[in-house]
Amino acid sequence: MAETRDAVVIGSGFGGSIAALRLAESGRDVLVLEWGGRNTAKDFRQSWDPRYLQTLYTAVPSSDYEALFRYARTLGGGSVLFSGMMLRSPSEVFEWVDETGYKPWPDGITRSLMSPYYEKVEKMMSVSQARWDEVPAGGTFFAALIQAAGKKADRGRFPYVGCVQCGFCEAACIYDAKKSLILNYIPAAEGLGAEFRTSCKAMTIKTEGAGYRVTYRDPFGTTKEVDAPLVCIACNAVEDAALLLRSAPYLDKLSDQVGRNFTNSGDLAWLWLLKKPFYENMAIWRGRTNAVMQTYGWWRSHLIHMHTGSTPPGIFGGLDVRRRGGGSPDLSWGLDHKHFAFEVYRNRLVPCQLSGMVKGEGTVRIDGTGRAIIDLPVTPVFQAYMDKVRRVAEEIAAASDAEVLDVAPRGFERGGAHLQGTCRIGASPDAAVCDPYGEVFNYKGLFVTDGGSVPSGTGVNPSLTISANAERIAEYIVGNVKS
Amino acid sequence: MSRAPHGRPAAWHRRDFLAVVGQASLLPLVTWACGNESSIQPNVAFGSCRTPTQHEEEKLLMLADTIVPGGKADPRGLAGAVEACPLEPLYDPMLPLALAAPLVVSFLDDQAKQKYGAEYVKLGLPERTEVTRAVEATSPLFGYLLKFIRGIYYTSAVAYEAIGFPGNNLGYINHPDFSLRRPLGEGMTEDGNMP
Repeated sequence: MAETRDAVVIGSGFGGSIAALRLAESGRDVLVLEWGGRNTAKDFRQSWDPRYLQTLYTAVPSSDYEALFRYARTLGGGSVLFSGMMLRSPSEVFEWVDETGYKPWPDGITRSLMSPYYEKVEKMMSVSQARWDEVPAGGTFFAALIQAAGKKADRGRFPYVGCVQCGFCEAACIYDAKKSLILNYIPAAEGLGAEFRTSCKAMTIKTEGAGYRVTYRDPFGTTKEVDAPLVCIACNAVEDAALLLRSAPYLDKLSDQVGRNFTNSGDLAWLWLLKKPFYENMAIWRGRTNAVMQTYGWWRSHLIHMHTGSTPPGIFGGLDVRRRGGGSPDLSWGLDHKHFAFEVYRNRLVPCQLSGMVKGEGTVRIDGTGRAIIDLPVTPVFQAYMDKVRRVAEEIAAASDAEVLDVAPRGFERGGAHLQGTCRIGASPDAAVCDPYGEVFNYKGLFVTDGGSVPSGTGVNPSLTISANAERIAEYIVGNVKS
Repeated sequence: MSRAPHGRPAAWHRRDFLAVVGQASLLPLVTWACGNESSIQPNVAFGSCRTPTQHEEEKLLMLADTIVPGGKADPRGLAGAVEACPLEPLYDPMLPLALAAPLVVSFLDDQAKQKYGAEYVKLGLPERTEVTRAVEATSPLFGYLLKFIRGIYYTSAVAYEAIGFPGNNLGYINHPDFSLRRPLGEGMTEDGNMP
């Protein structure tokens, strides 16, 4: 017999834990199902060993194997594993019209409407701008490149208090200096009676009576069921879509947009190779995983935002470098690659991570076992976007006598962790899965509260906008959906 | 085969293993396990790790040795993937690599037999490199596997030492080269935080 709750939240990342707290505050009996384990600082390690990381991350390649996506699989979700950059999306994001003339953000959702929700999250998570003395060397070199190209850079904003700059942010913080959800929203929700049930994977959602029945597998592999009139899906954009697609036989009025419009927030990554090192030991991995400095220098003109990373050894697939258009020696692997990597790693590389506005043209579908498959084709629209970014990257390189290194077969790395849009909000089921408040069209009480419902790239690192949007949707649920 | 305290075969044993591949097939099968080194709770969905066949393991190690050569093949004497890498992640059931790796190694064998009339593992480094390049040109799976083999190598203690990364559990707050207080950074980035 299925247990019964007032609300079930699937996923405990930004979208899930925020919704859980607000629902618990409203007096609801809340159950959160989290696929990953209940890990805290004592469980984390300062290690980039893939055997450790794969216990916290799920990695999914695109179907053409060109891009690798990752998402968290632990209590607190991405907040535990992200690099910490929490920026408000600029106004233009909410007004943006894509390359086909579609405006992803519904009318009325503007930056000024979002501002109070941004503030709420920033306060809960202790977000503040990094201090100058927290800028690592890698950030300095990025700033120098940007300045040489005639633009400014500045420090990003982070939910960090008492950071010791150990550099293992994306391996999870062992000091609890990164104020992830396991230190604020989740304990607050638990204090109000919400139950976070870990190592439980939601498999399907069906309609049941006046509400829904969620079927999940518990830590022992046993199939269990829980009924609730209110269900919030928040297990990241890829798994949100996979869950709804697995549930499609029971939810036959879902929009055909489920899984479509997938975007990685326009993320592209590359490396600048300096002809001469700034210093003998630049040590690009020193400092936070995210090396603090970022620039809006090309935002108004190109709708792109860049920041640098301290790039722990091993990222970029172990320094996947190759020269544009080939060139000798081939650097993608082999002895030459190894020697090149050891020669330049410590003092001639400046990594760049870029987000930008481009139409989400990816798709999430499921295979016969219900597992998510991601298609991320390079369409003419995306190619034009990459060409635009390439010109900026080359412009910056030219100003500093540097070289843009390809880091993937198509030049830029296109994968990453910024996953959005698969269950996007919008005005109509013809173009969206959820209404502007995140409620799935034709299914009262079924909401998508995480990045899946964010309808476009966020222009900058998306965690804060995903969180603010979750606050906005949760406020709507509390005020408008009967318990 | 003796084992390191953590239960995996020690790196130098691997090269010994490769040296006798094809001559003595009675070597005990190496069992592999995923993610059991910490108290992190395991996944609960979509099955568990599988054990590679010895045949697959031999080829994967040879492929790793081709991607990041070490031992006598490196005149600088830097250890390669065989010495440095745990390859368990290639069998992570959360990744399609569990399927990709066997496929790629079978491509390697086909190509090696076609070109040299011998199995991939019997070839020397130059021949293996040529065969591997041919497979790289035709198989999108290869690039994916490559990414992981390289990534695993560059997170190994050997690579950390070679590139000057101090290793795990070391912070940098007191390092003299640390911050923008250095001359290069002063006065350089006053604003730009637009919204």
